[in-house]
Amino acid sequence: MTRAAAELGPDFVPRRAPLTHTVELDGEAIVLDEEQNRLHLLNASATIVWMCCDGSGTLAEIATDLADAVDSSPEQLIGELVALARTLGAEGLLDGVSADPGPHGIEVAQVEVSGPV
Amino acid sequence: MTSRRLRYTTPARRFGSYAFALTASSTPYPDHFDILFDGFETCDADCEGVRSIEILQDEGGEELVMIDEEVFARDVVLGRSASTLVHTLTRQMIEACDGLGIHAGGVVRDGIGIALPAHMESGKSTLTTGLVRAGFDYLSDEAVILDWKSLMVIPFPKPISLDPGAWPLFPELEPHAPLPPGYKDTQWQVPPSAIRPDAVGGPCKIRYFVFPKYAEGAATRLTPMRRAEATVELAKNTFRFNERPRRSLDALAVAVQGTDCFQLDIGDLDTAVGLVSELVGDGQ
Repeated sequence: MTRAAAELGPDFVPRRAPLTHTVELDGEAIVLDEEQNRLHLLNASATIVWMCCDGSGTLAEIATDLADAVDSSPEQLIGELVALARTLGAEGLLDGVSADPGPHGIEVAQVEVSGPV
Repeated sequence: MTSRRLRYTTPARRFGSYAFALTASSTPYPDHFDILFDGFETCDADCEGVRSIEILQDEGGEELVMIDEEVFARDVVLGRSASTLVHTLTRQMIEACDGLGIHAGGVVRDGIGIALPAHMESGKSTLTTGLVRAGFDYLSDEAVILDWKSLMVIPFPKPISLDPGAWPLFPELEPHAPLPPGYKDTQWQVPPSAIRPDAVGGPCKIRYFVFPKYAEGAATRLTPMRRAEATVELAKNTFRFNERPRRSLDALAVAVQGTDCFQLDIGDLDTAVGLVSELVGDGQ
């Protein structure tokens, strides 16, 4: 059963979509959506949350876990986490969330050798 | 009907599993190509798999490029087959190579490799040529190819292809071959040995990824890039990325670790060469 991204709330248990592959450099994640063959570059904050999206806890629980680390309160964080989860879900990166229509992320076009064909 | 009085053949040249030998009915083409591709190792022309390249003139006066007996290209402008053939061989060599190919120029000095990834028309051949003239060794002006396992650069020393906009910067590199004038009317094909003997560098690790971007009148400056940002740009400049996206992304991420990455806006070549030289130390 899939949910619309806009319906996600604090009780949602986020899990990275099966056809995503992540590499991390200096705290920033590059997520390859293998279904769409597109890339997503996440900033440091989003990367921390993304790495927590392993299906083991709700957004509210993740907010609680992260609150100490970022010197904030769960109440302050939860709104940001829900907004981020909705964005990631709408881009097709979360399991069980239907992506919004249209291409998402960064296209990796075929690279041609320079010069006349 | 085509002329079949072919007599002159280059030594076979090899890059990885791709090898070719060029035959023509007179000496200028084979001689020219033997110099253009002198950065590649020679191999036995009788080996299995050596591609047979022929340049012929048909009875209508058109020039034909044939590969393994099939007409590959034809041109009414005599001599222009030279550029066509350089690009064809470049493409086929890259396609045949089992490595991670990045659309980039590449140079090395004192074992420090610099890749210059960019789309077409970004000035990578011009910058590469300027750096080799300044003392760097040449790796390629088109494809920095990394061994999948070691991520060492496999030099791909094709002839440097200079567009007309770059010609005034390198007047000393104008080719002077006894070929019909079409051979240099759209691009100069310059062997790295024309810049200086032994200009071709050896395998190395990339220490700097510098993304050149030429714009007339632009201030020439290096701007640091985040490694993740650079990795995405590298993916966009990787040959056949979509055929093996996960493997390519993993390899690119490892290749970028431990490097410094920059965008290089170029309005002036000498300034750009100076900035890149400073990255590795003067070395002179």
